[in-house]
Amino acid sequence: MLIKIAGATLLAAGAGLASMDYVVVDVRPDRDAPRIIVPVPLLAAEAALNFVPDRDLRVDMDEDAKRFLPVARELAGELRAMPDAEIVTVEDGSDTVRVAKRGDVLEIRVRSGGREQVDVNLPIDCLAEVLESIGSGRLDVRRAVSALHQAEGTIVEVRNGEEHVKVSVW
Amino acid sequence: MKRLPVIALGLSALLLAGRSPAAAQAKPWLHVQVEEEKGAKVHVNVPLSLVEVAMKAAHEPIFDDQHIRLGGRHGKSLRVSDARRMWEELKAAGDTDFVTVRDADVGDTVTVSRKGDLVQVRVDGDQGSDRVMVDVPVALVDALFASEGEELNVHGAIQELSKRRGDVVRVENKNDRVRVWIDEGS
Repeated sequence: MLIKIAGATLLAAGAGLASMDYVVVDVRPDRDAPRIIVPVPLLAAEAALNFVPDRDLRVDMDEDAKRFLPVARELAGELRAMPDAEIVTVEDGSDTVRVAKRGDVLEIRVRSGGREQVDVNLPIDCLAEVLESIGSGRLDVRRAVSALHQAEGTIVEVRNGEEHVKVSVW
Repeated sequence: MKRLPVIALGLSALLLAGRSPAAAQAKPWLHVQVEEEKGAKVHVNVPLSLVEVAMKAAHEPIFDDQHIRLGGRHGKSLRVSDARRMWEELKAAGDTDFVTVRDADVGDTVTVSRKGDLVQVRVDGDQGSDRVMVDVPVALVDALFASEGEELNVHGAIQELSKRRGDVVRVENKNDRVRVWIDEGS
């Protein structure tokens, strides 16, 4: 009987772990350095934040940023409603910047000189949630972290020559 | 990115518009294309509804303190009520050339005129090298000033702009091209 209970518990724990959202930070400083991969269960990160004093989890925004908050929220709503499109393309020699909407994701692609590359895939729901979490001009870190549940796949990928940093949510 | 003034000219022309009649229900998109022969190429494609929201962010710096600020925060300013009066006077004048300036040194001719439902700004270079074309519908400026006192009705102006299809601004010279237009495609 005990074996059955232990087995069921393990299965439940395994299923729980498998269904959990993970933030995976993948860093490769250069070709010779070891690759560092840190998977962090999002629930664990949220639980850890409960031990941080509230005052340290509220980040005050400056007055200019506060003024633009309502507009930023509306812009997020407009972005969500609009169909897929290439919103901005800038080409200047070997530098390019591209901002596009693909499904529920705002894609930002920056290429510079064939060496530097920044890819951002920002879920618009995640952006909207973060903007909503900024109540009266204070960013609520807990809600911002929780907003990552809306994300899936690679959120940020930065390459600079041999250096490589990737942040994903799975 | 060396020719930011050209880009700024293109983007600042978002409020200006032209000639064609209202389209039915399809959502209008604003397109901005800035191309320098040996420099940057910038393409912007956004729904006009998004421009309207973005304008709220720009509203304060441009129309600060109940004045239309020209040339940034420290530039010259014009009271909205004075601008509205000037506009009424110009409108009452009917179809006419308001301004014609010929710069013999540079070889440019600048004209500002009213032609039917449009206020047209034209700059023509000596041998067709430089060309600027800006068409502002009278209804758009009317809508912009359709408010009381020192307020500008930016929402109304954007609504008027959304009725337009086709080119709004075109600037061409030897090295640069700026085009702002509205259609129904992304």
